[in-house]
Amino acid sequence: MFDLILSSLVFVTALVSMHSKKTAISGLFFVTFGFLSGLLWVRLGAPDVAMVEIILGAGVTSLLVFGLLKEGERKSTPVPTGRKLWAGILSVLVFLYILFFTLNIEKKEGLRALVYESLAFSGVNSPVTAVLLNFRAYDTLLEVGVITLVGLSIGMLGFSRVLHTWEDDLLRVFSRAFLPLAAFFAIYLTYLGTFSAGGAFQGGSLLAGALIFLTLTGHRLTVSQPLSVLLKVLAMAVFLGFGLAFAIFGDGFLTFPQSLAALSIIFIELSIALSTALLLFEAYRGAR
Amino acid sequence: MTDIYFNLSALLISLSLYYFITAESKFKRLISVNILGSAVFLFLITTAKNTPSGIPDPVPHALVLTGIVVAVSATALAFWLHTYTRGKGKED
Repeated sequence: MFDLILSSLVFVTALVSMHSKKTAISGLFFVTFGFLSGLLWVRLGAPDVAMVEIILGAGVTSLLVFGLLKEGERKSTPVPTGRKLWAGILSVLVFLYILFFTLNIEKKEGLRALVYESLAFSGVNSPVTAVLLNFRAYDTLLEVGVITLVGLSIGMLGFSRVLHTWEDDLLRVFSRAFLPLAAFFAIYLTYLGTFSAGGAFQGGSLLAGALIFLTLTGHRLTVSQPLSVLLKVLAMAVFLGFGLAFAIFGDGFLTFPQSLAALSIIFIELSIALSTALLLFEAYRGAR
Repeated sequence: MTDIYFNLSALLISLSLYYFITAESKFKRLISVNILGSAVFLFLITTAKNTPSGIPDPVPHALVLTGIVVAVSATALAFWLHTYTRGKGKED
């Protein structure tokens, strides 16, 4: 029953967000859709993903989407009916295909058993963190590479803009007082990932959220360019450094030896949290 | 339990695909592509939950985590390139 209600809410918010002609309604329903998908992940047993989805998917993406709100209102071009027709046919075909594909899908164990068996050798106690930072560490390395690239590109564009500030003195003071608490909790969330739901991306995006909150209430946070570049490449450097060290002195690139696994993972996670915080903050605010 | 989420993901994928193709502004297109991304992640996580023991498979969770972060970075870069080419940025 709960699944039915949740799914209907997700469907309705997505539909209204995509269909509405008024951009304000689109934006608002998009934010709601983001938060409801967070609930979806919790229901499907994925709390780590839920955290990242709510902070990044519902939070930061909505902020970016709202940045284009006024322009979306002004520049809408009408769509030819021919395009609507073949798009409609395509979407019905895709829908039927996925429906029939998942109708007879069989329940498979997948890699779950393998992960839980090897968990003891990974250095952490959380299966998702073990997969993310040990078994599939190469994927995460490339992911860090992608966001570093995006962060450096946004930095190279060289300007920032102020989206909106609340003219509220109480919030301005509060956001400044809240920042150390949020930073502390972000580091704790990163550490929590080693044995429970949490991890580097969760902590990093929480810190980015606190910094964005600071900017939204009117504070100007300027990061000098050398420091900004240093922090942005920090995660990539640390991750690559560990990988190469294990390649030269150990068993292979990014092959964690069992005794050093926990320590190196915690180092890598902290550096990822720091870098992701700055990268996501600049993704919202722009550089300088 | 996973049946309804598979159906939801099929519905959302096809709908967002339609709205992505027939979007009348960049803003609409951005929203549709984000919803398409979320629908695909829903499909992945539902297959992760679809195990005989009921305990979810952590590998797709890690994949979706990576996917969300990359999607947000891509949206951010798209937004800033768009703002830059329109010359709308204020020199701060």
